[in-house]
Amino acid sequence: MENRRNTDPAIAEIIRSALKNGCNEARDVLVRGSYSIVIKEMHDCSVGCFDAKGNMVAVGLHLPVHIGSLSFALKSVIKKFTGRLKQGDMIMFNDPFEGGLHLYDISIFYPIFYQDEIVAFCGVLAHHADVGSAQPGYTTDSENIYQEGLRISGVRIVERGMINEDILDVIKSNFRLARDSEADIKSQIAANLRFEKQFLALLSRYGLCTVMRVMQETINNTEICVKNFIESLPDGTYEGRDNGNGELPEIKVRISKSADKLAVDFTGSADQVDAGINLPYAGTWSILGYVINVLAGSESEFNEGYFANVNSVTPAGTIVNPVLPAAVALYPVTAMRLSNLLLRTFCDFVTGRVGGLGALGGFFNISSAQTEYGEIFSTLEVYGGGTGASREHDGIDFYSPTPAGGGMKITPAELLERPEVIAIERIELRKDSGGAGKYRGGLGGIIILRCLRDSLLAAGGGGKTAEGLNGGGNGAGWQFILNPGTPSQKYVENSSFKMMAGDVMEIHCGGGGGYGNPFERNPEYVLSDVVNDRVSIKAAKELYGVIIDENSFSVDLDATISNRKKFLSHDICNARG
Amino acid sequence: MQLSVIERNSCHMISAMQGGEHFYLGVDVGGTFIDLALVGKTSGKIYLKKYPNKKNAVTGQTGEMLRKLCETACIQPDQIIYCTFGTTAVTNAIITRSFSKTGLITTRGFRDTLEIARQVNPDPFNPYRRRPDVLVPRSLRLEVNERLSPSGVTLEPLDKDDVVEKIQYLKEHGVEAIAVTLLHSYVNPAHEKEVKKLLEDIYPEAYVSISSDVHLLSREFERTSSTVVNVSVRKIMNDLIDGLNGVINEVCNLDTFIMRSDGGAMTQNDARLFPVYTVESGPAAGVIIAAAIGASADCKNVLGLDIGGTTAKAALVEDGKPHVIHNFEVGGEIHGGEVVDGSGYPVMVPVIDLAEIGAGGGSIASVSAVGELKVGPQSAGAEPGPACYGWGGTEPTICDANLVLGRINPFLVGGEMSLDQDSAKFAIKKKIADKLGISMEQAAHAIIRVANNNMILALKRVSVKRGRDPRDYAIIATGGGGAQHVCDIASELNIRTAIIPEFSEIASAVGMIKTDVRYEESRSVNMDFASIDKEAIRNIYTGFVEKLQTQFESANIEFKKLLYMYSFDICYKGQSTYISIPIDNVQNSFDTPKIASHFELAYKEEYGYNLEGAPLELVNVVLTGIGVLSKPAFRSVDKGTEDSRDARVDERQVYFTNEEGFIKCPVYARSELKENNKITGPALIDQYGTVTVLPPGWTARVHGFGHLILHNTFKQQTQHDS
Repeated sequence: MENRRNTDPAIAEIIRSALKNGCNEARDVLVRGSYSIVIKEMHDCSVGCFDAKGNMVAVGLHLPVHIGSLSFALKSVIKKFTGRLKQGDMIMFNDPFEGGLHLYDISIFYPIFYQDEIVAFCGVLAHHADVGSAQPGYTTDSENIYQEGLRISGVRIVERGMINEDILDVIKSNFRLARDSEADIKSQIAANLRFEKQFLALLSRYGLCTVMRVMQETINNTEICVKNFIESLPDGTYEGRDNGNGELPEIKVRISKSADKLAVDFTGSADQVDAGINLPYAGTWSILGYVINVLAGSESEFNEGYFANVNSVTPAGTIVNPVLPAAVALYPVTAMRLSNLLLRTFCDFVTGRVGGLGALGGFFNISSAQTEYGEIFSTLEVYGGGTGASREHDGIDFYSPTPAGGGMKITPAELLERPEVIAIERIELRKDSGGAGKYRGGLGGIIILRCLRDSLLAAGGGGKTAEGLNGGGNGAGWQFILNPGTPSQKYVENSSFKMMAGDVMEIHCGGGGGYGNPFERNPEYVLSDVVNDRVSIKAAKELYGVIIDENSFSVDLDATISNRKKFLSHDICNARG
Repeated sequence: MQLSVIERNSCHMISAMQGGEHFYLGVDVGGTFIDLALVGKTSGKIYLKKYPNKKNAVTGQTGEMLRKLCETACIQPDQIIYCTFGTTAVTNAIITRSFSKTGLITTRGFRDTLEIARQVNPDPFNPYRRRPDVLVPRSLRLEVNERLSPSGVTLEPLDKDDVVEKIQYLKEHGVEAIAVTLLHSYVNPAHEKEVKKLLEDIYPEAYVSISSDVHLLSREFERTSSTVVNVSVRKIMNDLIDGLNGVINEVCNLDTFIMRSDGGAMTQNDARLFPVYTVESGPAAGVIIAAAIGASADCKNVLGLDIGGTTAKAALVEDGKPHVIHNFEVGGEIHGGEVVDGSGYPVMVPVIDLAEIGAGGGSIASVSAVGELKVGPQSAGAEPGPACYGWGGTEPTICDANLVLGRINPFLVGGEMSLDQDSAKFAIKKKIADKLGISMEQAAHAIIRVANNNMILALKRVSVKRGRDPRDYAIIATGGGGAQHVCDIASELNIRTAIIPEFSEIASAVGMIKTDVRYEESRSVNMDFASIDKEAIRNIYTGFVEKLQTQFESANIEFKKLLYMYSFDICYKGQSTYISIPIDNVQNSFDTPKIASHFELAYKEEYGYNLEGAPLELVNVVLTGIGVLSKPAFRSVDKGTEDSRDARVDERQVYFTNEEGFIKCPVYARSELKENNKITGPALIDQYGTVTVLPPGWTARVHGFGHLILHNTFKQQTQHDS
């Protein structure tokens, strides 16, 4: 706590909030200037501030999985460009094997100079709708990285203040939505410049020494918070595994806690696969940081301090640390699965924080060679599902898919329909999809879209059910149904297919897991769910033991009590207390 | 707490002078207090009344208070010729969920749009963070069969039998207010209008709002949310207007106007139909008065800083006009000067662009587990209030910090409320100083600086972020806290001039009567700029002008003149965020290359770069109509000289810097100051509801209208701690 004596507490707080504010403002510049729906409407982009070594210092309230990965990417950029970064350079990067996520997530890093020295970096990550993969837009069928588009392991997109037109040219000749990508890249550059302006103002006001010291203290403070949290846990070792009901490569984790250290070992996880669901190591770390943040519920900033007391073993060549030439396009699927696995494993020794688990996110990407306006159209939509019930509340219905998509918006149907490639027929809550429990898991959603032109549709993610905890039931799983109710009806997942004008895709987003014994749920809550069409009368009876009169919409309390007694004797609740 | 009136003269002396004078009345119905401001049309004399907004106070007390105010001012009630009121009724009703039982009718497949709300979690790092409770339960959100294409073509006609059935259902279930939002109604409102007709036939007692009447812009969730907020509070607005009419008409017979969030006034009839346009009416009035004060002191470009009890609000006024935006979240949370996406209820109506931040007098200071000092956004509110109020509050607040440093008078509002110094010192010592290992005074000083920084972020949000240099502006400080913080804030931003009006503590109520009647019509058109259908645009504008003319005619007041301002919302084709560009009268042909170059300049100003030559899109066409009213003048104060000694009344110890500690400061009485009086800092200037803190290096001069013009005599400040 030496630092505390040194820096004026008011100045420290002023600098911390200015750094955060700078990140938020930079992202705002990016969102407002961008062309692609993925950025301008969904906000699939994040900004962070780093010290000269690449340690994360401050971030905006953006996507957790992006935020946590940025320092890994930046550190490899710094290594690659040692001694070669000049004032006014900006480095573009998206390499999954060097600290990036998937190729769509293109970061632009900007070293900020002060008196000929690099004193900080800004990093602006944005999801680009198309990066020149074999298949337009978001790819589902890749078997290796070379099918997923252009891999950029660090190039100067801006050189001494001038845009590198040669590099931009490569981008424009490889990315299908060249005009959008060019504007989006320019917006990323503008966002970096905005951050720099804020940062330099801070230096001239408070001096380099003070700003540098506060940046270091901010990391230290977070480190102390996380350390205190780890210390508060009982010592022990816990293991968890998830293989998606036998259908997905297994993730195996062993969490050991001793004193103020946490060791997270993924040894034994499945080998990487010839499909896009491999999770680059920066994503694995990022999810780990996110989960600790959820559990510690700390009041400190999310930054490099999160990782100081955590050791992680991620064997190379596995699903959680793939090596070249692994495909990684669908990494969010595994990222979200990992997040749930970690939460479930941690909940064995972190009491009071974890409720039911949330549904994973899913997506569709629609591409059409020709719209009415003669342009290529391709866009991605990411949907969440029901979140897990907590110990005090029901889960939240149809919510953004934290952590891999937290903060991501859905695009208004009125905008999605404008190019007249698809029509959104329905987007609603999915009845009976939330895991039953004393507190119910959140409902998933149903989205029905109809193609108006021949196009290519990719859809997937989601995965299997989100588990309930402490006696709570599982949430309903995801389903992707092509032309439901017709002879050509077909269930699909993580794949792409041609859609003819008139074809329909029905997406059922998963529900969240419940918490606690459903028979302990207040019958009035069950009635309210029935009245509001969230739970059917049948499910009320079978899952909650609540008998509801179909005509009067009222609870038959006597019948409910005797019904619940009948089942309770079987002790179905498996309650841990 | 009963607060009295500023009384400058005894009644018999002024009654003769005020015999023929007309008066304007501003009423600010706030969350905690109701403020009345009575202003003489030619004299500019201001009479104030402030009373707690307890249950039924609007109807129960306003009449009596108004009568007393007239007595104090020595005027007959019929001398009051104009009244505007602003209210937080809409926002409060939404936040406290005390609105009509509301139903919603949507296009088939979209009944959950209101709840899904673009699925945003306001805090992506917290999966258990809840979204705000939905305003209409799922059981009262009904779908009807119909469908339009994005270009407004009917793909499926409206199924009237279906609509009738759904209306019956809502009626049977006791729904009192019904919102209707159909997909793509911003291009073609025909189906919504049919539903409205059926509702009027079948269920005429219900309050009804259709989305195309509220705002003709695309994005179904935001439009639905605006429409639902609007219809759910129509009854509340009706009752409030009826109540105020009742009591005001007992005293004086007038048609009152209602303040809109964009700084204009609207007629009662419009407010009854579109209460959503009043969500930020109080803060908007605060900006309008800042603009008026600026203009009266020859500053057309000003930054308004309104520091209240729970928040501070910043706004930019250029060339006398505030910046108006079209998105706002009712009850939204604030984070770093920005409203957190998805934390409130979005409404797409014109609102003055305000950056609001949780740094008001009641904002609580705390120290985190690892020793980080934080101020706000939590507020002690009026209950339990700051520690120094002695009402049971134990948390240190900005108000407590000001008190222990001698920056405010322990006898608030003319001595009617005394503040407890010991409680304030104890709270700051125990909760802040001891944890940081510094003295109580240093801790209080640190709280003030962090609070100031939060306010600076809000000011930067409306200036620097939009490419404006704050040094080119004067700050107008209002609200109870503005006068204490403005000099430090101005120094930090290198702003040389700050202005504190005479009535700064109730500026919003005065702002109510410094405004004009304003209407706005807009429609999404989404046309390529290169091939604008000029005929179609002209037709839209012709319709807009006709509509506004009718509205002005029905306003039942004499306007000095009517102004119509045309503007296009333009973006680079492909973007989602547009910039509003003023254009010439469209009835003459319009000059697209010129408009395009204006856009590119404006874009560059806002973002620091542009995409010169890239194709543009015309997103919305907008018409703003302004019915200019005559307004009361500012009061002139008596002339004096630089010598201000006559106004000097006291001395107090004030803590400005950690280095110097407490220093002795002269205290001046604001009411005794005369034009041209000059005061050199350090000094304090006490007035009824606030204190101006003038630090060393600052001077104050009294303007002819009684404003304090504060001037920073220091050069650029830089502070390096080492």
